Amino acid sequence: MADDPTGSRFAQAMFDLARGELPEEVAAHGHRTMLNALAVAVGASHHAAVEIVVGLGLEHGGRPTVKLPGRVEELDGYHAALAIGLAAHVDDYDDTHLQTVIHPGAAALAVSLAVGQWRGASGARVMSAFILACEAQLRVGLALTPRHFQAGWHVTGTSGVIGAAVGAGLLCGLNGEQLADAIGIAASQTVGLRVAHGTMIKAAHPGKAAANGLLAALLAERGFSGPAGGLQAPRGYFEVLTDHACPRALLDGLGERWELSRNTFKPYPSGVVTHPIIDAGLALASQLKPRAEIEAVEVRCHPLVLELTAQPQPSSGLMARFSAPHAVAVALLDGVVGLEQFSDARATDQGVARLRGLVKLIVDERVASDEAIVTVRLADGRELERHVCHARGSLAHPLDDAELDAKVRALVEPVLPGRTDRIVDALYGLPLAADLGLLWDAVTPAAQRRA
Amino acid sequence: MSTPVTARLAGFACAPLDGSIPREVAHAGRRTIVNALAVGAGAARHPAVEIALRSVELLEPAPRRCVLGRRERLSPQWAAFVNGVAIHVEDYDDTHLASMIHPGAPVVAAALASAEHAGASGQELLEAVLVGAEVALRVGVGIGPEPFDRGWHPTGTIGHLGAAAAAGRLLGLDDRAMRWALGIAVTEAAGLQAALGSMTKALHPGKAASDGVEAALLAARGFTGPSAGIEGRRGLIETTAPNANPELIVRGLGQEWRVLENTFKPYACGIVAHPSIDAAVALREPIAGRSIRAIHASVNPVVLEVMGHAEPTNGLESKFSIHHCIAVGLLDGAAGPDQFRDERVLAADVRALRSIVSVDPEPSFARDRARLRIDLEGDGMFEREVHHATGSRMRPMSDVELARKAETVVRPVLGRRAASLVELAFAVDELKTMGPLVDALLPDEEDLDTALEKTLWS
Repeated sequence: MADDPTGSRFAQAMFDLARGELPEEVAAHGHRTMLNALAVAVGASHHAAVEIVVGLGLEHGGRPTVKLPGRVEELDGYHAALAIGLAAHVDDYDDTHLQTVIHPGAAALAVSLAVGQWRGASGARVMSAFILACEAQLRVGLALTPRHFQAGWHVTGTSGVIGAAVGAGLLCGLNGEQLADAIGIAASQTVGLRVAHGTMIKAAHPGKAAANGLLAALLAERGFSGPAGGLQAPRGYFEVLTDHACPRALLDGLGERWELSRNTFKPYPSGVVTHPIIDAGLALASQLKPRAEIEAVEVRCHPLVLELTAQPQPSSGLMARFSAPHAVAVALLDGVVGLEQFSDARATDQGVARLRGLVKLIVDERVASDEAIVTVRLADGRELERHVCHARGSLAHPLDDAELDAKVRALVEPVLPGRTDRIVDALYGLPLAADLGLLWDAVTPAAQRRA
Repeated sequence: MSTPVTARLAGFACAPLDGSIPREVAHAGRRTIVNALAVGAGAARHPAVEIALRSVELLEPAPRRCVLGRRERLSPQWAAFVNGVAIHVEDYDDTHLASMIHPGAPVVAAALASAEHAGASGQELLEAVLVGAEVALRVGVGIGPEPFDRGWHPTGTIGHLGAAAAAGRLLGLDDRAMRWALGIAVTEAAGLQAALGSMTKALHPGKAASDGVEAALLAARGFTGPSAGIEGRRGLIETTAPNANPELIVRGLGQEWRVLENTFKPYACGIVAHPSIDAAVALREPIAGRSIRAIHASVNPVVLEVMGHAEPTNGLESKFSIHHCIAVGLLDGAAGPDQFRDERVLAADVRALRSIVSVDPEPSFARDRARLRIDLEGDGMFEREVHHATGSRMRPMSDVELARKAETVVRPVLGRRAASLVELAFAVDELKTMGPLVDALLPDEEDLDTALEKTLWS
């Protein structure tokens, strides 16, 4: 842009926001976002993919300086960011900003915990970096417009690296100019093509974004020069990554209108467009007699369902998260939908596969993306229908505090029994905490301290 | 459906080569290694390399693997990172014109670190470099110019695939894991041309090399990636080169080797300047001691587009100044890294000569052709036309020229080891382990201490 030759206005704006007071409502929602991300990371702390990354970090990583939610190991900052970002995203149970389809919590959590711990930052600075890492991602996502995602990019990763550079840069104490350099260096480290969906690396996109952002901040801190012109530079981030950018969205209303406020938490561990379908399936399940024979299932849905979740017979838990037929099948069969319904075992179950085969997805342009109409035809000729206007967890029908608490509890208790309240307290006490000590004590197993 | 490109490349990357490599292909691989290791070691003290090294050292990685021209040691991933930066930072590396990729930096950096880690022989290193370069160059050519025209920097983006292939081969990945490694590389392929003119340009191959090593290490442990990352839905081709013909990528795979088209830079700047520099270097002696009134260069129009910076104020800018390139060619008879240092750029003799250079576009000239005319004070004129620049496909650098380039660029850093590094690298396939090569890449501290002493006491 002509009046921003160094592309530093965005960086300077983030820098200024970090030094000011965040509005109470934003801070509160930031807390909820972090709690949700942290709980999900704990829940997935021993996922096979996380085990691999932790193993890599132990063998090839540097001096361990950062703990991992739900685990006994410590890793260096880079590998910790990778592992935490992966854990927070692998179950597809995190958060969604529906307009951009970004899941901002994972990369933001990873970078703020890893760099915050490594640099001994205060709780307030960690919280602020987390919130601004989210906000930066979302604004970048708005600027990229839906065309970027439609073209095949995993915007959670491509925007994630920019948000992570902001978060890492703030926690490293970079000034506005250095932050601009960090952003520019991060722009050359974008991560995420949608071809990766259904594989472990897709889950690692926000983790890799966080690790790359950390690297960008370290380089900028030492004077590594970034490209001139920022994200709007010719042959730069916006020009290359999308056919149709809206760079104004970066700064428009920044500090007054917070995109983070429109971040929602997933009630089910699956692609967000399946959620109204699951809601409908669960409601219908409660009306069905046990062993009711289902002959056909029809789902009227938004076009995105077909685009993102049409896979009729997923062969793994990871893939099942992006299968609307699977989602409605387990909802109808099990009457409850949580992590178990998206396990490898459930994905390959014959009974589930049979019901999946009876599901028909019908795209209806009039149906909104958080809406669905599910009709079940039984062997005895009866037809049951459920119309969900706004899915649980959507902007119109967000999870209330009790529902979020229940989700957090269900994720944390199996890994860290009895610790949920301590984690919640430590998180809410973060703005006054001198460092992350209390939070780590709450979110890592006791075995570590006995050693 | 369409050609299973990723699977074919993965199979090629893993397959034993067993003496089926044509002699000239093996030699192209050796030359690629000589050139990359030499320019990388030569750049060991470049500010960008220092910063990259210091940054990753903060993570305190286990100090195992070689950093070119330095005593420090890093983990394989970070050694590949710093070395990738070093090989590319002076624009003195290699060029594959058809794909616009500089394969040495991402591929050799990833290969060296992986070879050390795996305890590989020189022959295995050579094969990995050949395979990695081939994967990168074939994808680069096969996907066509769309991504480059869009603004992607293929040394960074496609470099990721070459690095993953080389690293994966050395780590012994099977077919399936190699497909995952390539898929991980695809989803991490990055690098924007906006970075040109900043240190971030050199980051691109460094990141490609380190991500490639990491991808291979992950895949070896069972970390999955997409199996058809290149040609699959929402994959590399669909997102960055939708008009590409995937079949081109694998046509003649294993029989025709793109790596034969890799050329080495005789000068530390973009290749479009090289014919002009050749002409200037050739005219240095004839015009020595004479007073020059004017210098006229006739060049392919692209030269003015990418190298039109008439009055550079620092080293980085000077690499984009054909005026500067011609001036140092005439004055120093060279255009190596020293000719693009800040001090040389600002020196009075260089500034004076730069100011009398005028450049005219000659649309009929190919990119490796240029003509230089020097008008002397009074009567007298010298002219030189170069039809094929040194290092171009039609006039590649000979082994002797490459050896001389390599020895010259490493001598300030490796000192007495300069000759032995070049000798070892030219015979890399005879090495049983990386040990001797790594030793030859150590800096000559005695020379360094002497230089420091001189500074302190002067």
